[in-house]
Amino acid sequence: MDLEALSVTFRLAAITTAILLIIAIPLAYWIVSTRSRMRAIVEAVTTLPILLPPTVLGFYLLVLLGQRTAFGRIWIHLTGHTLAFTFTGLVIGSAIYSLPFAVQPIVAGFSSIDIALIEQARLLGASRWRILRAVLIPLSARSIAAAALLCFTHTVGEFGVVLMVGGDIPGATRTLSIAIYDQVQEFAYADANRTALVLVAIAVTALILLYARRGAYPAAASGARHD
Amino acid sequence: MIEAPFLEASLSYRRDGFTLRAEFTLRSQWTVLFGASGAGKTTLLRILAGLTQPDSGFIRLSNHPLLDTSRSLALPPHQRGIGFVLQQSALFPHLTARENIAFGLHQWTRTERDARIKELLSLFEIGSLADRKPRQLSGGERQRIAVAQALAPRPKVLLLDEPFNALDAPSRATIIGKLRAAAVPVLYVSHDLADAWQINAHAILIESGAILSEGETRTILAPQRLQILTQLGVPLK
Repeated sequence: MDLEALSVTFRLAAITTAILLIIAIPLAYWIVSTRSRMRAIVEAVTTLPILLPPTVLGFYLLVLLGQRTAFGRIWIHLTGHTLAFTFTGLVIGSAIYSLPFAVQPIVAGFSSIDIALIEQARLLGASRWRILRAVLIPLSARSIAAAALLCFTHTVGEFGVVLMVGGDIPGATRTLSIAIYDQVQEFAYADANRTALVLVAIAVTALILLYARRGAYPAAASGARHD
Repeated sequence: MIEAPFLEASLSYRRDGFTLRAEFTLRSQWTVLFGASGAGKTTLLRILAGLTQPDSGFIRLSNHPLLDTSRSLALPPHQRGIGFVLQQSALFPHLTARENIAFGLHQWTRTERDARIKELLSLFEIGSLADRKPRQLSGGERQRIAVAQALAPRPKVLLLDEPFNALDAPSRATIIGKLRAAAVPVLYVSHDLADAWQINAHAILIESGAILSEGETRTILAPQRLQILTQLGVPLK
C-alpha cells in the first residue's frame, strides 16, 4: 500500500470537500432564490464537469493554470511557481471537477423546503443571510451531508483530471488512483488489487452511509413492507 | 373599537386571468374578510403583507405608507409591522415552540425576549409545550404557537388566513378569545359563513376579486342567514 498516496488522496478529498461546501451553499442559495436569466447559465456551467470527459477538463485546467493565461502568469508572478503539477493546482482542479456533486444535492435540498417557511421567516424580519443560516441550512442538513459525502468520494476516485493537472509526483500529487495506474504499468497486480480494494471500500461505505441517511421510502413507511 | 382608520388600501392586481381590485379601510379591531374560495382573499392578504407585489395602488398603516406604486415605494415584509398566520401553520420544524415564538425577536435583548415569550406562553396557555417541536404537537397546539409567533414582534395588525379551519369549534373559540385579549387589530379571512357570523365584527365581502360590500358582519351576511343557521344547526321555525 502506497501510504503517501493514501495521505495525499485524503488530504485532497478533505480540502476539496471543505472548499466546495463553502462555495456551493451560497451558490445553491442564489440559484434557488434568483429570478435572473443568468441562473440557467450558472447552473449549466456548474453541471458541465459531469458531462465533459475528465481529460478535456484537465486539459483546459492545465492551460488555465499555466503560463498561457493571465491567471497563470499572475500566479507565477506572485508565488514564483506555476500551479500546474502542484497540490494547490490539484485542489483547484478537483474543486472544479466535483462542483456539480456539491451544488446539485444542496439545490435539491433548498428547493424542497416549503416556501411558506421562507416567507414566514421574511415576515418575522429575517435577512437573506439569516434565512440561509437559520432555516435553509438546518432543514437541508441531510442534503448538505450527502453533498459532502459525494464530493469526498468523487475526489478520492478522480483519475483523469488529477493526472492532467497534477501529474504523478509522489507525496505531492500522486493519489491512490494514480498509484493503481503506476502499479498496473509495473505489472504489480497484487499491489494494484490492494489499492483498488481501498477505493472500493471507500465508495461502498460512502454509498451505504448516503442511502442509510435517506430513511425509509414512503411505500415502506406507509406499511407496504416486505421484511 | 378603533375609530380612526388604521389601515387604508387601494390595490389593483392582475395575473393569469385573475383580476383583483380592492379599495377599503379598516377601522374596527376585528374585521372579517369573507368570500368564497378563489375570491382573492389570500392574494389580498399577501399583498398587504408584502409577499406579493400588486400592479398599482397604495397601502397605509397608521398613516405610514407601506406601498405606493406611484412613488415606487414598497416596504419589504419585515418592515411593514404586519403579522401573518397562514391556513397551514408555517412553524419551523427544527425549532421548539419557544424557539419558534422567539424567531422574530432576534434583535431584542435577551431580557426583553424572555419576558415576551413568557407573556405569550402564558396568554395562549402553551407553557407546557414550550420545549416540544411542531411534529410533537396537535393541530390546535400548532396554530396557537403560530399565532403567538406572529404576535411576538408586536405587529400593528395581524392577518389571519383561515388558520383555524381544521380546528373544532371550542379550540377555535379559545384562540379567538386569546387573540381578542391580545388587543391587536385583526383582519380575519374566512370562507365559512358560520365562522364569519360568529366572529361578529366589521365585515368585508369579496367576490371574484372585487369588494362587494362592507359593514357589520350580521348586516353584510344577512342574505345568507338561512344558510348560516342551517350550518350552525339552529332549528328553523
